[in-house]
Amino acid sequence: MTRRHALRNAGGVALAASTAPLLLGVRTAFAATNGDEETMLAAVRVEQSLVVAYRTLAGSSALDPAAVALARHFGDQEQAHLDVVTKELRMLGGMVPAQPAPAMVKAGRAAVTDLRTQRALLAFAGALETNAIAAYFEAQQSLRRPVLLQATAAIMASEGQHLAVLRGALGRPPVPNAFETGQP
Amino acid sequence: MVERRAFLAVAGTALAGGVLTACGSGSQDDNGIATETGAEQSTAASADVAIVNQALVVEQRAIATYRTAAQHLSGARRRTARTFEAQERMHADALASAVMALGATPATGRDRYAVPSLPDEAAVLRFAMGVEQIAVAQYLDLIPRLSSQNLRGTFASILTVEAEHLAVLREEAGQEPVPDAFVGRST
Repeated sequence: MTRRHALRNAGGVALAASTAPLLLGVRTAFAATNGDEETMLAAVRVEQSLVVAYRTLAGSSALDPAAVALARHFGDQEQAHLDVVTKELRMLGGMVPAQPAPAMVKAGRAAVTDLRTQRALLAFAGALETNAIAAYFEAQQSLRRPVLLQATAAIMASEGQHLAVLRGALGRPPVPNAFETGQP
Repeated sequence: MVERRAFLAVAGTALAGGVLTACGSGSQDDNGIATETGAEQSTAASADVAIVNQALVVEQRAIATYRTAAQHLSGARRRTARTFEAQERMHADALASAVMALGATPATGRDRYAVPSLPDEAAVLRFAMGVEQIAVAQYLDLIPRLSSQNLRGTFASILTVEAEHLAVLREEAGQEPVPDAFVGRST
């Protein structure tokens, strides 16, 4: 998985290079995990990235009121995802990072600062969701515990719903593929 | 072309996983110790067949739903219904292929499905939404029961699309497209 690949999920909208760290971080979150605990720790980091991204997007002056409301709504839902994966990680006895990594927060701010138009910001959100779906698609094939499979499947589907809405907001077909695996 | 690649990707991985499972050769850990007997793998494969066939029945219902919906819708909504019907057909084809790869017979659809009164397009949208809500709930229930990791991936990719269909239908119906953080709650 390369930076170029992670950036390709913006549906043809050119994204600033500063978006790559966050996009790549989400896309490769589960790549090196081994076992359910490591996978759920990765899920916590994915959801922290999405919460940071949407909260930062909602503060952008380039978004109109409807887009700000959308970013806040999706940010709230990502927080709900984060709460669930955090709870599951704790039940596995795993250590939960209390705060998003400072580098992640910095990457989110840099990305939003460099994206000057609503279209680019929504495309960035879409790319994040696509990369999250691709990551969860991998996780579905490695997790063992049924409760974790169900929780992450529900989250993956929810990210798909976000992606469909964002595609529609960008004037693209909301559901272009029969199988959603997060591949461009 | 992209759709065909996606279909082959998911059907192919299900196929590979199914063939591997159906071999019944047993598996070993790094020390060469058998970790699963051929009989256990065969039982798991049989269970997976039943699960995939359950999903296939769901897809067959969805195909019929969108075929009916398209007949009662016009313009862009009719095009959406036809697109979604085509996607449900691809789901059904992938699932049927997975069942056959496991050496079993795919479930067959009904000749006729119950359709409520559809006096206007709003009723059609509600009808389709209801079918998608059932599909989402079914997939969430079935995924953890699969033994094949490849099939879980396939199911998750289909579940995500059913959820996307639901969001689109809600928006068409003038509702909040994503009212809940977790599909399967309000779905």
